Amino acid sequence: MKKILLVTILPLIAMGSIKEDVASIDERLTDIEISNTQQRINVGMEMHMFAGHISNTNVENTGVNYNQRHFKNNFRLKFSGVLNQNFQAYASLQASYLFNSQVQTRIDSDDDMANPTQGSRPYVRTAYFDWRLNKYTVLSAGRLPTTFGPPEHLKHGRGRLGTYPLVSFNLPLDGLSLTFTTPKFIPSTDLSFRTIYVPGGMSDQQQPHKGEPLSASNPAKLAESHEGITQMVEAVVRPKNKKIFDSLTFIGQYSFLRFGSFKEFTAPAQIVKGQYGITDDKNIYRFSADGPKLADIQIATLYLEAQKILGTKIDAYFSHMRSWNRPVAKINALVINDGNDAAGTGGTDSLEGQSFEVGQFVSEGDSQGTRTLYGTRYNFKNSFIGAEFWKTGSTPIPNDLYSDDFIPLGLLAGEVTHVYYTHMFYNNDLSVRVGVQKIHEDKYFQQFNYAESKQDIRTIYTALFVTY
Amino acid sequence: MNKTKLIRIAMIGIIIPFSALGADYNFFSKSISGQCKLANKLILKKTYLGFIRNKQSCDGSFAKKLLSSCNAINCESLISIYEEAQNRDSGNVIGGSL
Repeated sequence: MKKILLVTILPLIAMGSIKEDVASIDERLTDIEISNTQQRINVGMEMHMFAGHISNTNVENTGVNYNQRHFKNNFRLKFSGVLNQNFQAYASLQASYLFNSQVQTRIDSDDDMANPTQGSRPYVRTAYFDWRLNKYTVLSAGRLPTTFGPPEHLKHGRGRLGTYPLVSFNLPLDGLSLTFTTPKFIPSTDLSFRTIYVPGGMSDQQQPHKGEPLSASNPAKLAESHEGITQMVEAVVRPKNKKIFDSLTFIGQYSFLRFGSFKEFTAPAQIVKGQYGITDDKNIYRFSADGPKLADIQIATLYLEAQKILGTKIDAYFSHMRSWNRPVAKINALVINDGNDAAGTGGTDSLEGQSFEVGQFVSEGDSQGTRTLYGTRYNFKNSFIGAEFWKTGSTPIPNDLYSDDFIPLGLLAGEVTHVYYTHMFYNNDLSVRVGVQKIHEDKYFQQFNYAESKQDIRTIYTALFVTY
Repeated sequence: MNKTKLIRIAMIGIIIPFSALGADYNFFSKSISGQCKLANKLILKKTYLGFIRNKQSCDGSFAKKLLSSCNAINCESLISIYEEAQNRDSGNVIGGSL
């Protein structure tokens, strides 16, 4: 009897043990597989390509309507390296250009911050590291991911693409940052605080100990560097009860920026347009500031995004910024080449050598400005339809020098309506968007401040966004 | 150096840098564990690997098991958490690797 019992029980015990071993081996193999996805050098790529038609009425410069088809490519090469679980580094290169622009009109990239579409020469968009100091704190430094912040990702159907809300900044800024994620003390909520310090580098690149004079005529007066500090608070709520919303994202941000003056430079500009019978100013000017500090600026920004509101397939977002500008230095423009020769006298009444005061940074004297962006989208299985509205009040500081879009909205004061449909393909890695954008422009930011520019621009486009 | 060794080195050189971008598993795991208590973490790990292969679908057997054992999340929110985990590992947000 004992023998029969042993023969029956032993295989059962053995089977149980084998089952446990197999489960254990499976778990260990899975861990290795996960580990392989986490620790390696990655190369990725993003392409954001536009094909569209732009029409523009009331063109300020020429007074004629403009209708033209355009193609644009924004290309990003992305790298990431994981040293270990606590240290990761990221870098990306970007080139943005209108199709064949180099063939018809040479666009020379000179690393100028004022050129959002810089030609086919790539520039460094990000180059930074994240270093986890402890369970809750990450130190980051380098050229930070400060472009294409929320809600830019929503129209692509992707996760968040940048740090700062789009209405505050869209510039690739170098800086140092400390991100602190709190232990979970509010149910279903991730809460984090981020401080970002952006120092300037206004000096002779080769001999930084020398400083940089504001102008050749005043070598004793050195320029001050820019300096900025930003404090962010972020909360993401994912409640267990999803009756009101699936997830809610809140970002509150405050920035204080001290803008140092620039080193004098030479450029064409529309300074005497409307004077001396000149409709299109062809003069070349040398711009300089009369003091080391250009302006003190404060920016407060709010961002709210809710997904799947009231159990529906509707997402919505609202973002608002207010800027306070206190300009200090006055900006002068010296005519160094009179290209107008308005009187046709061959230069005897030339403006060459004459100096014009062109005001201060953003506004003449203290000013405030606002920028608001809100929108919604309705989700289908593999696609969504969306609409958004962008509006400025008075003269906000410009913010959008590196837009992928045809028209960088952060440089204009006015209103923009945008309606689009996005379809996702291939595991959501490829999206194709068709849209119509209607821009009513009142003013446009040129060099230092806003200039009157009444234009109605309409863009009909198809955009392809692919990521690897 | 013989031909086979050269080919091996070249293959390693090609495979390593061009591997697809993954996602932050720690974030994926923490986000789901924060919403429901899972007795079997292996299901979570297998679901994560399944999403790397096909993130649009919850039809995989492990994703189905995960969803049936956790009422607080549905397929859409699972995909959304995975996409956010992927985003955290992409260098798009400062300090995003937390």
